[in-house]
Amino acid sequence: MTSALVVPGQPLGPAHAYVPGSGVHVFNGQIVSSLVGQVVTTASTSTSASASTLTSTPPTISVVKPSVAADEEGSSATLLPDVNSEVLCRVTRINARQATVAVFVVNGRVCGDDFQGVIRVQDVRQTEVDRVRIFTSFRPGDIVRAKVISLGDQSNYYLSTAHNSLGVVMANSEAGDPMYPINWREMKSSRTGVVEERKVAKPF
Amino acid sequence: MASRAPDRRRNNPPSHGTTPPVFLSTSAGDINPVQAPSRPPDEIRKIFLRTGLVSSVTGSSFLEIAPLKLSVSVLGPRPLPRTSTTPFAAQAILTTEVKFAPFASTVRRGYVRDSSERDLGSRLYQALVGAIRRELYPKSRIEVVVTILDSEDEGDEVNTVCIEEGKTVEPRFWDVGRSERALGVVLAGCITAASAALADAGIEMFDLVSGGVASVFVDGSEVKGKAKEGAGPGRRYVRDPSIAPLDEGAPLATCVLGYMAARDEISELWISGRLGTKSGTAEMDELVDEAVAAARSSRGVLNEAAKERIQFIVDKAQSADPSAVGGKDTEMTG
Amino acid sequence: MPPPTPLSPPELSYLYTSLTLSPPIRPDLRAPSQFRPIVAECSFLPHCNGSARICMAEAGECIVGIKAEVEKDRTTKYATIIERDKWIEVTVEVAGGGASGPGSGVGVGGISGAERRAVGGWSSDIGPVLLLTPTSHPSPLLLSAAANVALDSTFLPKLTSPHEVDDIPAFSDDWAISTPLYEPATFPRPPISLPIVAVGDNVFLDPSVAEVAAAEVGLVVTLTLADSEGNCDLVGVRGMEVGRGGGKEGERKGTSRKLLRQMVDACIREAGDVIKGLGESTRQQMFRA
Repeated sequence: MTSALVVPGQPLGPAHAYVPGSGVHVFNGQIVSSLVGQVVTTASTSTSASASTLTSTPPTISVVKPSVAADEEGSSATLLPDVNSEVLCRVTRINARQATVAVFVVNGRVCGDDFQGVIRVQDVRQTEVDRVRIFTSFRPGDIVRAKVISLGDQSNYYLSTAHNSLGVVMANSEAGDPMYPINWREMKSSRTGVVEERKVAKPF
Repeated sequence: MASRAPDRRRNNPPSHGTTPPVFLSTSAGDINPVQAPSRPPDEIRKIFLRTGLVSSVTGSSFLEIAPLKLSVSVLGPRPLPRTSTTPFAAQAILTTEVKFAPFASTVRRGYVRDSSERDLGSRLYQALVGAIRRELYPKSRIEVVVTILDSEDEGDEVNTVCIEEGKTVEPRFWDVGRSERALGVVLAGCITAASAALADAGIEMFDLVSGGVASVFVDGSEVKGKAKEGAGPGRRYVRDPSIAPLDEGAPLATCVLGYMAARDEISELWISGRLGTKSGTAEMDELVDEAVAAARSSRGVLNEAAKERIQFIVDKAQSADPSAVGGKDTEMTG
Repeated sequence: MPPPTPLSPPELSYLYTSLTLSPPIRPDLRAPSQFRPIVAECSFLPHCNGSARICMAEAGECIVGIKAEVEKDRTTKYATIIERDKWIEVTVEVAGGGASGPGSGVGVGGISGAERRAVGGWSSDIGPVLLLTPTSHPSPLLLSAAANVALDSTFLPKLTSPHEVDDIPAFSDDWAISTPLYEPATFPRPPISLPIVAVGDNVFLDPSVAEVAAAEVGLVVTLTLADSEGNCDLVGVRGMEVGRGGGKEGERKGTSRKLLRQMVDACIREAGDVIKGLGESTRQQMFRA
């Protein structure tokens, strides 16, 4: 359900009647908009199922800024990686301790600027962590699906590929040919058939 | 060949000759059409404010108040530069920059920011920093860049006030508040426009900040009438004062502030001038109240301007919906 | 641009809590309107028309020299003689890189803005230049107190050429007949900028660096003494950047008008005594010299 436009600072209702969602904040017991946009209230899913008990959770209220175009260029400009965000990144440098990456997609949306992140050697995979070598997991230029585990230090987000679905999704061989995954740790060149080692993401 | 070869060493004029451009009326008559003398002192000048004019940045706005024209660009939130020396920033780092274009005033401005521009920048920072929900944007920076394209002349120490063409006019007062008023109007405009640009960028804020200016003058007319004997000379408050001097009354003080109307809080305050304190802060309070009233008036414009572009998008989306049902090719062409 | 935070978040939170108590407890156990002790010296630089040295515990030390300069009138076209004798241009330069603390520019700016109004009685284009050399975090109070004392102790050589002549003015060499920039016992006196911060419902004059970091709002209030009874005129108010270190989310983001009144009121109450005190110590030292 949507309604008229609101501006930052505009009160939307008492704080006890709603659960604050995105784009709003609470001030003086009031839910107050913090964006220009449309008010969206969604009834909590649990109440509809359990036929309104007295302790039902109130509806969630949030303010959504409508995007300019279908490609969501406008709204993704304020996109930042957060803990548990799934990101796509390109490997820029590797050394024995970590792979440095540039994050360019956060939660399925392209961000305006690249964010720098690192995948440390202990975050590459879940098992046999001691035997992981960065050089047999990533190469510069690989496109990697990863998860943010920490906002990290002043310059790097800390990422992890320690899950079956995470790891290299696209890679070229040393000769520059595209490769396809053959198992969880190897990829094969489509032209020469050379097999290279990677931490491969499960394709499906 | 009959025609001579052109002289390649020089810039040649067009072969068919030119006519000099003729501009209509540059006479002194309409140099100052802006300050309509009929404007009541409690009314601010008309504001033109529009958002989303610069497509390459996250948010932008353009503001016009009489001769003042400025554009604001908001960049970010974007990652901190790799060379940044700041340690882990749990909140977004806001930077503000105010720059007069070289052609913005009668005296040419340099390309390097001078002290008054840096000062305006830090005031704008002060006005905005509290309003932005910076904790939502860790490890990032938000840049607000203001370019002033045209401004009322600051009156570089020269009081052209007292001089009329060809004859010397006895000055009634030295217009000391001139540069304060000029800077105040610019700062208030910067604050209002920057809020609109931040809203346009979709950066979450606690409240919009609007700028307001008010000046207090000695009320010359009331002194003559002696209406309030004992209460000292009368005072006249003018909201959104123009640089052009008023007919009567020496300026006493100017107040500029950034005001969050929904929270009734002042985020930035600058008073310059001279206010008596015999009755405590009463004189200051009156001036601040006038400036707050001016800020409230500009908040109305700010609200509408912030909504305008979003409303356009919403309307477009709604009008596009039925056509999507009708046929797909309309979408394809769009 | 954000002010440096010398304290960790838990320390700031502790400080914030102790400052919001009623009555508040300041880290150095001062009363809310109590200033730190100031050591003030004046006219000790022989090549300056006026000079001052101010020392404050923690805030460091500041030396100001005022040097009068004869400048070519840049406003020749208009307004050459109109009441210019009421005006003296003051340019302020802060020397040294140590001037990047919170609100450092504020105090000086307040001075320069207010000064032009307060100076009287000199009849040529003289630009006193203030050179400030603060050592550590310069409190606006430190800077403005130093400027205040220096201005108060400034003497300018007597003008010997008539000032209607549009030529470079000539001055007397006799230092004994030099004229003070501010005649003693005339008003207004040189202004002073008082920093004040608010934490919760409490206001604190002359905040220390840590208090500024924990404060929610700050102001620099510039006042000048208007008459012998100690009444002050308000010549400037500016926002001061504070750390907002200790507060919780969603709390105060600006000053309410009530708090603003409270803060300026506190400054007005104290300013008369501060300016009088500084003036008295200046006069004593000048007399001795």
